[in-house]
Amino acid sequence: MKITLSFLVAVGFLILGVVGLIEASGLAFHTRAAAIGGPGTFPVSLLVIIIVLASCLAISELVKSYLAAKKSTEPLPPTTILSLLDIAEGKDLVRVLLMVGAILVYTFAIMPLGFLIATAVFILVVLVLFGCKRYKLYPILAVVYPLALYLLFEGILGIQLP
Amino acid sequence: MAFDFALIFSLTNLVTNFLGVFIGIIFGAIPGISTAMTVALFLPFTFAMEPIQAFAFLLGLYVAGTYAGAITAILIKTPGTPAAAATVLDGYPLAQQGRANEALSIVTIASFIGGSFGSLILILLAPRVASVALMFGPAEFFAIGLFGLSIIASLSTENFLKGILAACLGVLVSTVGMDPITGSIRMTFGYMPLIGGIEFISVLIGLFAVSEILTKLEKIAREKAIGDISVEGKMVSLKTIKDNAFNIVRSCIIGILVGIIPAIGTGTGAWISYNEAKRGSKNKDLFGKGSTEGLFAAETANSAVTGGSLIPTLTLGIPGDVITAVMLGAFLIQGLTPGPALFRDHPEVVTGIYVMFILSDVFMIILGLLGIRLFAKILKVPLDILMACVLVVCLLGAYAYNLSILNMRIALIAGVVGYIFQKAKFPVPPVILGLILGPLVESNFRRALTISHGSFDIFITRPISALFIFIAVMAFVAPILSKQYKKYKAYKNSHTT
Repeated sequence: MKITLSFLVAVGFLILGVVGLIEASGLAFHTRAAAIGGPGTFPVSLLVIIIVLASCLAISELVKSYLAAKKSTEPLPPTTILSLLDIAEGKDLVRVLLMVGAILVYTFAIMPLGFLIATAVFILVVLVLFGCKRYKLYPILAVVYPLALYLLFEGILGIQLP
Repeated sequence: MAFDFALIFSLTNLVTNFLGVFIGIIFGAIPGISTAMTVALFLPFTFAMEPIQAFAFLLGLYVAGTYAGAITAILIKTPGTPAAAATVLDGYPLAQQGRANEALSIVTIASFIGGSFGSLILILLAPRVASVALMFGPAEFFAIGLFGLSIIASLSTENFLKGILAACLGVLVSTVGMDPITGSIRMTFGYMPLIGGIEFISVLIGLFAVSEILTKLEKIAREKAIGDISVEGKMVSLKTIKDNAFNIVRSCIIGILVGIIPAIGTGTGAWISYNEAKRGSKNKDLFGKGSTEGLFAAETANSAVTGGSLIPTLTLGIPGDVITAVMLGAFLIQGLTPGPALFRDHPEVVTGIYVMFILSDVFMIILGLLGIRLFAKILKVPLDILMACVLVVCLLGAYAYNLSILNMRIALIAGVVGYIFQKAKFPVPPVILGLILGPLVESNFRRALTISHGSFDIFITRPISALFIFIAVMAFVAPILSKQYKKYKAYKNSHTT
């Protein structure tokens, strides 16, 4: 039986629902004027709906996979992260993960390094991850683009950058 | 209607509107960059603008982005935006026949007519709807919000459960932070920076822009470079336009009606109109092989949808489609609340929106007709460099709203969620709509209960509220019933044959 990404997302919703319910359990359901309609009413109701719907989705995905496996005469290929994310090549997933990592590092680096330096380095990393082969443009993009953005945000839009 | 000529027609507003149209055409013509992503990307640039100027810019992006998706649909068989999906069917064959110029001029003129008709209906209908809506109380607004959420969740996806779950996630995110009525802190997991709530802008940028960039990251390496593109042939003749008069009027009406219903966006409007044009045509065989009728139908309707979509957005605060949902963010940024109160408290902004909407169509037809050959060259823009530049602007946009690095991280998390949602075929728009409609639904639900001393009767004894709740329930139940009916029909057919 093949595990689908929809099943995993449904499990994620289930976990969110349970954890959220624990967090929301201390919130009041009532107000002074009414027995219902307090700050906890909406989040708790939503979380219960999420748990019920996510359970339905998870079960339906399992049933679908089970039926597909039963119908298929050939053995199904093993479930991998690549097959789940519908990515043909492993290096694509590595690129996506590296990009997420690069953005995270950028959010930590922008304050201590300042916008211009952090963005210059970040742009270079992003260009490499995108596989950009116009190497002559690298220095121009790393220097001119952050500078132009800095002038636009600080000078024209009046938004202070780190 | 409040009309301050000097305020609305200021040079700044006109230039900003023109700029919005220009950028909208450029981004709309780039395959893979949707109009929603363009509006989300440029939303932070409106932080420092006056309300009318901000809407001048965003409406320019909306109108032009919806139109420009047709450029790639015609020239390289790839719709620039989902709105242009039906345009490919006849636009590309026309280009193959050496009539690219005719096809491009048809979509420009059709978009102008559709957009102008949409503006007219918007101006005529919106104040009337708003004046009726002014009489609504919390129960009605709760019901309308619920209706918006249910329609959006049930129509925006093939899988009903996924749509509802996505909408619930959006509403849940909107509950994080300080409770708007009692001031209690909730759903922050003890993390103090979340007391102010999760910023809508960051989630928007993450879901629509960062997730797209992550998806593009996989594809760009495998995408082939686009060869030389030439725009050949003559422009559309006046006779062809005259021959399509009835087709154009019908498409305008379809577009408007589709636009008014929340959640059914430009793409659906174009498909319905295209099918109707085909059904009523004497030259059905030409459809799919280069029919000018098909092209007129699809493009007139998708542009007319824009005007229709703005009606529920402005009058009720319920977005007509995903792009207007993104534009609701602009109202929040400007400290305005879309809905009937906007017409009462800020009539000059409403008038400014009408005027800028009309002007966007005027600038679009001028730029579209004059710059067809130039805009065709946009397709050669290297996507890798563009995406790198766009990513930085996305992150800066998230930061700029309240100068918070946390917002950048929220945009990243939303981007990863959006990426996984795309892969798992979960719809993204209901998350945004849940985020927007959540506070409206919750606060009105609680206010109504306070008025009724906790009795739920208030929602069913008031006719408007009862009607919208009934439609909302039907929107939840109808897809399930329809699925079961199809199964039953298939079972019956298999047993009778």
